[in-house]
Amino acid sequence: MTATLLGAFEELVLLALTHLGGEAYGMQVRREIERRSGRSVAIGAVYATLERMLEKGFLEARLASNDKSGRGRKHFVLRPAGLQALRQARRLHQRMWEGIDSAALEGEVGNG
Amino acid sequence: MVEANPPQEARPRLAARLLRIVWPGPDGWMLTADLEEEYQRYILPRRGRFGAFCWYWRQVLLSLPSAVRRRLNRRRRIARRDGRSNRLGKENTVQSLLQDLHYAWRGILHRRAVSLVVILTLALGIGAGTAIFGVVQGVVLSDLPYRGSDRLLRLMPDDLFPVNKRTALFLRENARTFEVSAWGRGLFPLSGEGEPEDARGALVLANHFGLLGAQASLGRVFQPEDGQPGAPKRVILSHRLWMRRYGSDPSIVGRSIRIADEPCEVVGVMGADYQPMEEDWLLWAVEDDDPASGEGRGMAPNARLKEGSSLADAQSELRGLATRYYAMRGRSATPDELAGMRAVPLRDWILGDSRAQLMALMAAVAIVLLIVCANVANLLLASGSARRREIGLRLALGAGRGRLIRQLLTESLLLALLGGGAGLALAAWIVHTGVAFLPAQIPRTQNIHLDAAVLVFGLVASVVSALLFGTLPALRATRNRLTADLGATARTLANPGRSWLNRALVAGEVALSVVLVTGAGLMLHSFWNLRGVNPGFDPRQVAVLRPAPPAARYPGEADVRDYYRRAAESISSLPQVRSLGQIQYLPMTPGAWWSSYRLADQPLSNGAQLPSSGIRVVTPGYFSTLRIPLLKGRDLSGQDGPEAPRVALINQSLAEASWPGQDPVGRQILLGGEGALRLTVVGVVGDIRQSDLRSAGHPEIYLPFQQQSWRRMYFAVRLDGDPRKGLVAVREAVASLDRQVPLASVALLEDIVGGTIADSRFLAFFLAGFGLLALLLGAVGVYGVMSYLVSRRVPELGLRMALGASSRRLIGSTVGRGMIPVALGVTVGLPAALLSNRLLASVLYQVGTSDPTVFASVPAVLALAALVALYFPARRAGRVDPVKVLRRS
Repeated sequence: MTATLLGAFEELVLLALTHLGGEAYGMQVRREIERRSGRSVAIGAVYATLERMLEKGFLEARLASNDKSGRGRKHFVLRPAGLQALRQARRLHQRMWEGIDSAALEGEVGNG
Repeated sequence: MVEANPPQEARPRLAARLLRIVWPGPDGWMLTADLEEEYQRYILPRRGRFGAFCWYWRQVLLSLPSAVRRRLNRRRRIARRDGRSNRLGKENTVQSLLQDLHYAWRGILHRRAVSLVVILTLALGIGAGTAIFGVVQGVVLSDLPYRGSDRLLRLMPDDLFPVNKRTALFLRENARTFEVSAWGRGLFPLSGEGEPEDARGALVLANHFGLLGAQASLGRVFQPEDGQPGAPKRVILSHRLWMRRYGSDPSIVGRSIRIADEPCEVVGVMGADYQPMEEDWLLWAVEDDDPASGEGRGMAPNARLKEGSSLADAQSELRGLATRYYAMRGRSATPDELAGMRAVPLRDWILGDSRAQLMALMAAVAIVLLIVCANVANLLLASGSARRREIGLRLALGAGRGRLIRQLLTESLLLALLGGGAGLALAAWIVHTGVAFLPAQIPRTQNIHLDAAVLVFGLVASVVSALLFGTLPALRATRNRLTADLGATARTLANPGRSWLNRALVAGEVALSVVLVTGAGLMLHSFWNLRGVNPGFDPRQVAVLRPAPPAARYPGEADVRDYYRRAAESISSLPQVRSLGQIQYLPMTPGAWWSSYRLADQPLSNGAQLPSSGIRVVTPGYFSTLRIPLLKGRDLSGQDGPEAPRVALINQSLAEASWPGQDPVGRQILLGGEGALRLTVVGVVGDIRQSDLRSAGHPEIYLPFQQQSWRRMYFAVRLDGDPRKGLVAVREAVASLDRQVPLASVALLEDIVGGTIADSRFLAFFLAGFGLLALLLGAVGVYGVMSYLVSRRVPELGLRMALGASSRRLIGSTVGRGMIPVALGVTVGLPAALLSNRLLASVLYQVGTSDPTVFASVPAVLALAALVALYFPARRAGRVDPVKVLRRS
């Protein structure tokens, strides 16, 4: 297990990136999260998270100038370390959720 | 490479710039560019301009926390990399402050209902407080706009020392400890370049502006040479008049305008923010330095203390000068007359009663704010108890108590700032719309605006409120009663001792309310008394107006009389006119003519003080029109013409002072000092209130217009039917004679009389409004606390009911317990009210500060309000279902 756990928002960003084929720029990630979750997301939060994960080594950055607008864009690419972190997160979730059925979530905890 | 900018259609530039500032560097560029593209391509087409605008701003604002956090992390990493000591202490404080804010915001959102109530009540209290402070700041606290204004004085001779140009010039010549100038009110009929109008203004000695240290914004102010006798007539315009009548014409300086049909040269225009001695002045003209000309004109002397002199020096010199003046006139001043000579600081004279009135308002609003804080504290105490579980858990997990308290305080601060922000907006609106409704007696209203001082006040009020209402609940909530809280609190019997704080707060609120409501009651009583004062005449259904026939068109006395004769005929021909009369100075209007007099049948003793009386010039119909009773003798009539023997009417005060117990009709009065006018008294009329409703009348002598000419005479016209329509008709009847004659003071007499007590009405109603607010807030407080306490006592009440107590007993017990803090509050509040209401003494009219009516009714009113507030909680207490309660245990 790696030293740090993925934060909730970090996880969302990495998942969105995965959905986008492993490579995207900031606004695309924001749109994807917004589309899937239905909640409004601030571009600043996405950018800050992307930078943080860049530092942690989960992503790498690439300057691309190949799309229609012609301007330079910073693309973020998922690295193996990032994929590893995602897998770890999924395993953790599965283990914690194991044994909790929907009934337990509805009623009172413990014996009623 | 960056592409050429796409069309910048309505991009919120401010938001973009903000983002660029907090997110610097190439990453910031990319981010902004991304945002731009999204905005232009997807958002704008889909949501339209307004929707896109909101979206953009939302993105920027929501990105701010990330931006800040990012910068902080950057800085810390750089410091570490450079080997600098990790400034953990400082960073952590900022970090944890941000975290506190974050939690505070979350907490507020989570408890939306409570937060909303708190914010609204705070907004109300802080808004009202800030608005009133704005008024106090503008009127009372801020400096006068004159150089060195704390050395400016107003010299206050009273009615006995004549206040006219001759004495002003005498003072100016001879004073050593102070410089003197003087001003007198004037009415200037302007013609040419527009509708003829009567402009209010001042006649000033040439050194008036120099004394005040004021500069003109165009041209110059008066210089000493403008005052030389024989100098050409010169005027200075106010900014308002210059804009309105002369179209802000920059070449006005040097041009000549027509006043009273004579050419006058404009030498300057004052700036827009210059504040004249009286607010409605539109222009200034020079009164020359010749003591013989314009002698009867009343002038008010201003003075400036010279270097090294004090107010006491000026005061004693003033007395000395008065003695010399009387000596020059051949008699000695009495101690009474000398005592009347006063030098008062100019600010005190300008403010007059307004200072006391506004301070009373300020105190009232401070009380309301305290009550608001008490209410909010109660609310927070109650909701804090609901959060005990959450807080207990956090304490158990190791959060420091200090940290938790800080966080709860941050929540209070955030609530207070939100409430304060809304309050400031409310205050701005109040100041903007409300200033126009201030009574005319309050001076310097043009100086009222929201400036930095007022904003700071609002901020400080918010912070202090937060501390007041937040500290106690925060301390309370974090007290370490761990096990009890984590357990099922609801099952244990509530400990009644713990609710003493809530009830103490209620008692405090009630005490404050008592103070405020008694004050309001006293003011209302005083106003009611004023309204009931009999002015001595009947102002209802009377229209007034005052023509000013210019000397150029009506040069001689005969011309003036003829004009008024024709005007009277024109008015009488209207069907709704019942009667009319004329007088040169209407009651309750500015203007006075005084003269000393002597009774003909009393010997002249040397050096004795001569009494003075007001002199009025009237026409025969005046007394019947105003319904002033004729007590003895006869009214003036047509037979008292220019050739007939000089007669006069006197009022009752004069009659009783001069010939007590005897019949004054037929006696004679000598008017003026040395060998003057001999008048025969032909009748006595009732006293009236001359200057305002509060002061009793003084002696008056009434002269017939046919024997004493006067240029500007008021018409008083008694009307049948709707007096406002009648006023319009009367005005037209006079104006149609000669459109070149300006008509001033077109109004209804009852409005004029009402205007003199406008300040009393204003204060009374405002205090009453605050009192009502205090009552409401207090009732809400009682209701809230009792509701909460009843809900906590439900298990106990259910138990008692199951054991046989009747529902009525429980209701009674609830009401009783609820009334205890109220009774306590009233007991503490009444003596406090007795003390504090002494401050109102100066503004009350015929009402003692311990007026029994008010002090008896206030506790009754409060008790009633408390009972109403207790109705619902008491009902709930009676409706407790013992079965349900027992089952839950």
